Amino acid sequence: MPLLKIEGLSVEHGPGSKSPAVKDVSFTLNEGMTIGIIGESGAGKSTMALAIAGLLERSANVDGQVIYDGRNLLMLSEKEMCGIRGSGISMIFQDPRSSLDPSMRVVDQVAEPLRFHLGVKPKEARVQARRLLADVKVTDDVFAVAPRAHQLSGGLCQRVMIAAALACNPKVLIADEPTSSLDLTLQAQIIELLQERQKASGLGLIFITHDLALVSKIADRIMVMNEGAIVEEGGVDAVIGNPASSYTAGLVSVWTGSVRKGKEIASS
Amino acid sequence: MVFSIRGSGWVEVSVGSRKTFSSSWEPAQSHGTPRTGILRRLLKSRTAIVSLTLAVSIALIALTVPLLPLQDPLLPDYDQMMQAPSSGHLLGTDLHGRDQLSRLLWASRTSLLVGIVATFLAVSAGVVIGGIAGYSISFIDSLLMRISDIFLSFPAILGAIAIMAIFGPGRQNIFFAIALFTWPVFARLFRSTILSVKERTFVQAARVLGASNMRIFLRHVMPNSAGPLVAYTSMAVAGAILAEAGLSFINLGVQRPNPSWGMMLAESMGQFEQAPWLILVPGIAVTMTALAFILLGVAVSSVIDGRNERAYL
Repeated sequence: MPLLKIEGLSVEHGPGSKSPAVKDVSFTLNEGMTIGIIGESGAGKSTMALAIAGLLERSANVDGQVIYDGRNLLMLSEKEMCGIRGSGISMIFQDPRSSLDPSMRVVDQVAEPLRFHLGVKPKEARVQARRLLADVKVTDDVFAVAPRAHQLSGGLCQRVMIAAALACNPKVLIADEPTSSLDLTLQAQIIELLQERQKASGLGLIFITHDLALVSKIADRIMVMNEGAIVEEGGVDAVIGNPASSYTAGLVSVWTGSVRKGKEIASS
Repeated sequence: MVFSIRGSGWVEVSVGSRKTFSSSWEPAQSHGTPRTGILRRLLKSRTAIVSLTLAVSIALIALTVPLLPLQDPLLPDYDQMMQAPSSGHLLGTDLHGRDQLSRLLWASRTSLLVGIVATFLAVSAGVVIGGIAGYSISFIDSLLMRISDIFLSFPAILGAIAIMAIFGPGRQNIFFAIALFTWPVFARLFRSTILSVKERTFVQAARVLGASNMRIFLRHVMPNSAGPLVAYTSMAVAGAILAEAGLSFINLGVQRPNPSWGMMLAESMGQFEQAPWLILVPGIAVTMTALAFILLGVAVSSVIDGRNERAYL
């Protein structure tokens, strides 16, 4: 069942820009599916994600269709989009520590979406938030010691962000390089957590990264972006094992090259 | 516990005059201004303690004046003019034989009231106007800021004198005269803080979760912009107290015979050689009160910035 259908999505930053940031992107995200989007920095991955969530500046020119729940999100008003963000489509970012408000307690930040989406009373929302935090393995004794974001490690912050993003059971989660700032152990834990949640609720995941190893492990489909356009799309084995475009081949060879180099260093 | 102590777990933290070592979950990285325990950190700062004690005791005196066994501050006694301090009149009497101590303490009510009300008006106007400017399209933003520039271009005390001269002396006019030339500073301060807070990642993160603009403003932008505002508010109270003293000194403030520190200074000017205490005491009162609020502002802002405030006290 398709959750999110994107057709001909193009983004231009203002009238003066020479080339569009996102060029004619189309794909479909099904329930329980993970789409990995790879590409170098500046390829338009994040811009595309923000466009889907309706978070680009007003000056940006967005074309095409983003169909969610039978509606084209690009035609909705800001107020209607507020109702969809967080409860239908959610997003987590690269830098978990600065994604949390330093002046608000972590529990309250997870409780926030419950309050404005579901109208849960503040006290009850906090109780539910504690449960949600326990689901992502941030236990009560953690925030008894460290109630605020700056007291938590990056990994814990990302867990909190995931709890907040998934608090209202969205159907789609866009993860914009969620593990890039974390070390490998934490990265594995966060991925495991996301996959767990995906299994439990049929969450559709758009996973943006430039880590080929990671994406080949978790994605069902891979899209390779370059200069705003999708240069290649397909299953993991097809794209990584037998890249059709020269750009993908280049990315893969850089990656396998670095892996080989690593092995040489390890064996020497 | 799931904590991982990464990097250099030991972070040197220096608070007040003591250096303490505390372990931290992360290397000492500043992520904006962590606002936890501001009150606790404030109470460790010597500047804050001194200024808070001073300000709170002045406020307590002002509040309890009607209950104190004081003589009538308005009642002249022409048999006892310009008496030196004695057991009957602890601070002596003034030119009209009124009890100086009683007048001094009653005047503290006027000073604090003006300081607080005028600043409150200025902060409210500044927050509303600065908030609108920070959230508006550039046309409205520049319009509001140019209006604030007009008010900023007057030296505040001159502007206040003009207003008082036009509308006449009296308490309410003092509030407005002072607030009218103080709000632009708050508007500019608040607008610039908002502009920087608005761009921080957690605001984007809140939008992603579906928070409306109003909610983001109230729950995220406002609390994270309050710090500089609070610090400056305290200093503005001092400014307003000084302005009131100045206005009353040139007879444009509080109306006679009600006591005001500025007016007490003005009345006793000619008698400085015969009765220096008449001018010293209200002078010291104004200075100490203003100093208390200025130092409090300094302490709050250095705690917010995480600076060491020992340079001041």
